[in-house]
Amino acid sequence: MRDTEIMDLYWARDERAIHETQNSYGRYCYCIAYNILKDREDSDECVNDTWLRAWNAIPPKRPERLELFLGTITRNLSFDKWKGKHAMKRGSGEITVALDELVECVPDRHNTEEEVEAAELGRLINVFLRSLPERECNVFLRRYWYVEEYNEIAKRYGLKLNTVKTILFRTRARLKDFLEQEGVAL
Amino acid sequence: MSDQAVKIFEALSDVDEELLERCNRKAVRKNGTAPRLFQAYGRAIAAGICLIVAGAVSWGGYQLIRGSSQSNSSGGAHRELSDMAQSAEAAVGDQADLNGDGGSGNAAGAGAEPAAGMAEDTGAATTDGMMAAQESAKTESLQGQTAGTPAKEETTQEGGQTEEDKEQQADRYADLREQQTAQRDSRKEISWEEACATEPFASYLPTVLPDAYEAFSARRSLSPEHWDNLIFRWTDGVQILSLNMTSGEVVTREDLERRDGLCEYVAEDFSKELMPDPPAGEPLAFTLYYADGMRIDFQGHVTADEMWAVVESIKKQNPVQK
Repeated sequence: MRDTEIMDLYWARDERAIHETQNSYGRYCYCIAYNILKDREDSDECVNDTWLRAWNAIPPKRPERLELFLGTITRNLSFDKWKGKHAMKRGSGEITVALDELVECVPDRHNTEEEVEAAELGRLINVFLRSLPERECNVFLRRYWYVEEYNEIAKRYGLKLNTVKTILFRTRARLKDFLEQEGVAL
Repeated sequence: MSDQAVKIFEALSDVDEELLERCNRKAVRKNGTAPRLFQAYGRAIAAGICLIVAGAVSWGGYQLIRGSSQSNSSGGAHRELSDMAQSAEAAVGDQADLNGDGGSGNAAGAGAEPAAGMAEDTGAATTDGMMAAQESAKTESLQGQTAGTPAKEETTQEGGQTEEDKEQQADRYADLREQQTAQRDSRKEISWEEACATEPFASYLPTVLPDAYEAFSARRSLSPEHWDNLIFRWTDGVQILSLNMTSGEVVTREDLERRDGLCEYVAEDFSKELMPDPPAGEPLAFTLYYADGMRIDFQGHVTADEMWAVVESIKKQNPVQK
């Protein structure tokens, strides 16, 4: 079923909307959740919560890209769940590794004047990503948005594993420089 | 993991949908048949091309020898061998392309360059022609790297050349061949003691080696105006570990990014995480550029841990000055 048809079901408050969303995007959302949580039950729970959130949000919302709308909800829910589970102790899995890598992008606090709001950080990251060559941007998002493993990314784009590592290494270094230039303090 | 990383991770949730859609869209296209085929059979294709080139060169040599023995005019065979050498050089360039990213990318332009005079010495064995072609490609790649200018740029300028341009280019290639010959001639075995006392290389000698590896040989190549090169080799009796050190111009992170060279890093940026994963049977190989202009090509059939220990021991002697 097309996105527009699924959206019409949501707007008509027809519960088949959830079934069709599950059919079309269940696997996609599950992959996002599983990459972060590495746990089947938790991932299933996040995906089900995603459908509920979508049901409550549409209407009034009418997302232009249903896939990304759902994916973003799943990612946020999964990350919240991950944070809840790992609040007291350091966890394991790909998300931990990905976060460890992102530490490299954080500028030294003493180099900046004041903190910026999270929204401003989001805006700057968008500016930064738009400044990247397409390949670098794609690889970065697959790693830090979808939390995919290096070898998955390499396979997806037909790159060598080491190429992916190199691209990510250089992009993180660039992001750090960029955020420093913008005076970002985190 | 830190709170700062969490903030960046969360900020990424607000990334433009357009960018996310693009990275999904690309994934579909890239998973197409052609890249998969190339990924799966790239090595086989490269091997096939090598065989074809070797066969073509051998056949050319055979024709030449037969032509000489029959006291025919050597002009035709001479031309033929010259053509063969040209195709060999072109194929070496193609092979470098097939090898993909890495430092070999810089050799791509070299393969497309004319090989006038490659087969001037008609008495040379055919394998020499092949090796000369490879050396030529390597040397020209080296020139491109030394100058910090990708050799590919030269290739793109070839279209629409005037006669004058061609003559200038031929002169340039003649100069390059002279340099190549000079490099070959200047390369010589030196004693290990002498090598270990030769600066600036001595301070880059690792203090840690993989188990059972011992000093094997050292070869020096010096051209005062162009390069100063020393190759250290160790062996465990079966495999070789080599550190090919070249003292030259400083190469920066920006230079490497422009060149898009893979397996090439500024030494201060290098970490164990970036250690290449060579395919089974291939040596571990990468290049580091140090702040004083030293370039070291690391190569050996050793584990990532062993190679990292070697790199670390060099770093300790040459601490990065930030």
